[in-house]
Amino acid sequence: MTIRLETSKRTGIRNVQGSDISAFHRRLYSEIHKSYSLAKARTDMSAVYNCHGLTFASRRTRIEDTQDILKILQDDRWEKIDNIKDVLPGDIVVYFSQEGEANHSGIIVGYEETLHLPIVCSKWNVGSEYVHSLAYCPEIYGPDKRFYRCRL
Amino acid sequence: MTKLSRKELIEIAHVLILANTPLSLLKGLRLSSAMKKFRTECSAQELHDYYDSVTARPGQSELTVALSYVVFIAFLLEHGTVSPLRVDPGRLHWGEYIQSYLTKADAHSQYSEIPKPSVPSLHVTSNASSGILLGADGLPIRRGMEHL
Repeated sequence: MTIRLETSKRTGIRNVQGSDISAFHRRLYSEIHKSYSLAKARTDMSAVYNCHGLTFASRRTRIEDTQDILKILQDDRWEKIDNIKDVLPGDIVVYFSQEGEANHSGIIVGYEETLHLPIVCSKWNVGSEYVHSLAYCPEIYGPDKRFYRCRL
Repeated sequence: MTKLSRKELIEIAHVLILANTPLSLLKGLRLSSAMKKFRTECSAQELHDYYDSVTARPGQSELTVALSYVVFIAFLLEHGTVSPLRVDPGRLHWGEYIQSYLTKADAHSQYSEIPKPSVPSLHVTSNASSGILLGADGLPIRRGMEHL
């Protein structure tokens, strides 16, 4: 199912809400929990929204296409932050692949002063929302991390 | 037929449930050891038949879906443009997206391929001419001044 979703300039954003979580999903995620024991799960699993849905659509749906993410970044005036030291809670991070695909995103919720690393809240597909340090997430996310602040 | 270990099956299932987008699924599965096996060990016909059988199973689990994606992508990568056989992308949620991406990527790589330049080589030829030596200014050096 899709919902009506638009940027601030009323550009339509394609989206889809996922369905239920199976028992098998839960079993697989319990293994992932163990592999990433330092990432703190803050919610139960949900198929309704994905990482981009958390970052850009208030947890209401899944956004799956990079072109839609780029459109949101542009229309909603998300300005790139070049220096990681300037990143603040409330900013966002978008993880891009080497081919330029936005394969993950999250919201900055804190800053690890000693290591100069942002702490991120992000959703791992149908899994939980996790609070984790910037690079402490599955390998298929990234490797290029870009930070943005909304200037609307 | 190719046999996958439990570890390999779990690996692809993890990729399936972690991938937020179709292309991150493609990227993750491409790197999996199951993909390597299917690409190297299976013919187009085998992949085609296996895809048909695995997607036809009722009540598919995440393992079956992950396996379907691996077989589908292996087929497209190895035989997509050359085999007369076709696999139905509509059976997978992100099938059409992935097929379209790979088709475009393949077309792009074909058309943007730059011909390899010939290996640079030095041709040393004997100077059968007058034997005039040229200085840094390009002018002939007069005999007897070579040592300067």
